Amino acid sequence: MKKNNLVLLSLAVLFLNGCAFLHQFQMSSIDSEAVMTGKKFEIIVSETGVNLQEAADTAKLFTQSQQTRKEMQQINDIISMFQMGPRTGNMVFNEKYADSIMRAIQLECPSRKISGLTSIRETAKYPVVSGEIVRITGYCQKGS
Amino acid sequence: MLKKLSLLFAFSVLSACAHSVHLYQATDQNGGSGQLIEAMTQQKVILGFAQETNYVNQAYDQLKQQCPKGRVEGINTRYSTSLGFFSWTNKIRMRGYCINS
Repeated sequence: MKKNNLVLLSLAVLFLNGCAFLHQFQMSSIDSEAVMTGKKFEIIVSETGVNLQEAADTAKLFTQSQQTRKEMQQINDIISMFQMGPRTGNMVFNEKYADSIMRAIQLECPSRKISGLTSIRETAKYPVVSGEIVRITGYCQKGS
Repeated sequence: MLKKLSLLFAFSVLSACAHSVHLYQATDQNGGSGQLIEAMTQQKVILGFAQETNYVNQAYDQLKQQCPKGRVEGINTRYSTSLGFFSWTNKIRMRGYCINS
């Protein structure tokens, strides 16, 4: 029983200590009629981000051998040469994950009368991985 | 040695085609039904030296040219970077609806 509790506690610490980082916030114009009478909607898309440096650091914890640790660091250094460039949050393997938002907006608001849109780019950070999130909120006015 | 190679291979697979999405923005729509238009330009940067510094304006111009007699609504803009070997590619992608007046 105690062992189970320890495992649960470890999992909770691992997954509940995520921190959210805001990278970007933007607003479009606000049509007061649409905002006051329209229906609010929210679209969230997310992709898993990976921090290979953290992955290598974590992997090093599982080995006692100094040689293996050194090799892991060397490998990570080599890999980092292939991943140069500016980053917002962690890197992802699919850059098109947010492109579905345009279609999702049309599905949320078939009348296409949309105002008060906010765009948020944020990261939910966990050990080694992260959620690279794009969040759109807005107001949809019913078509006449 | 084999272990090192297999680790390198595993990391290489994991690191292939890595990207970073910096910005995503969507703008309002006024209810018109229009044609979907798209513009995409990019900037190659090698060792910190940028080759094309006007790529965002080019994307904007491309979008305008596709809708010469109308209004562009619901513009969705994505700014991302594809990471690479001592180089990277900044990309701007704009999509919107051309509402002909």
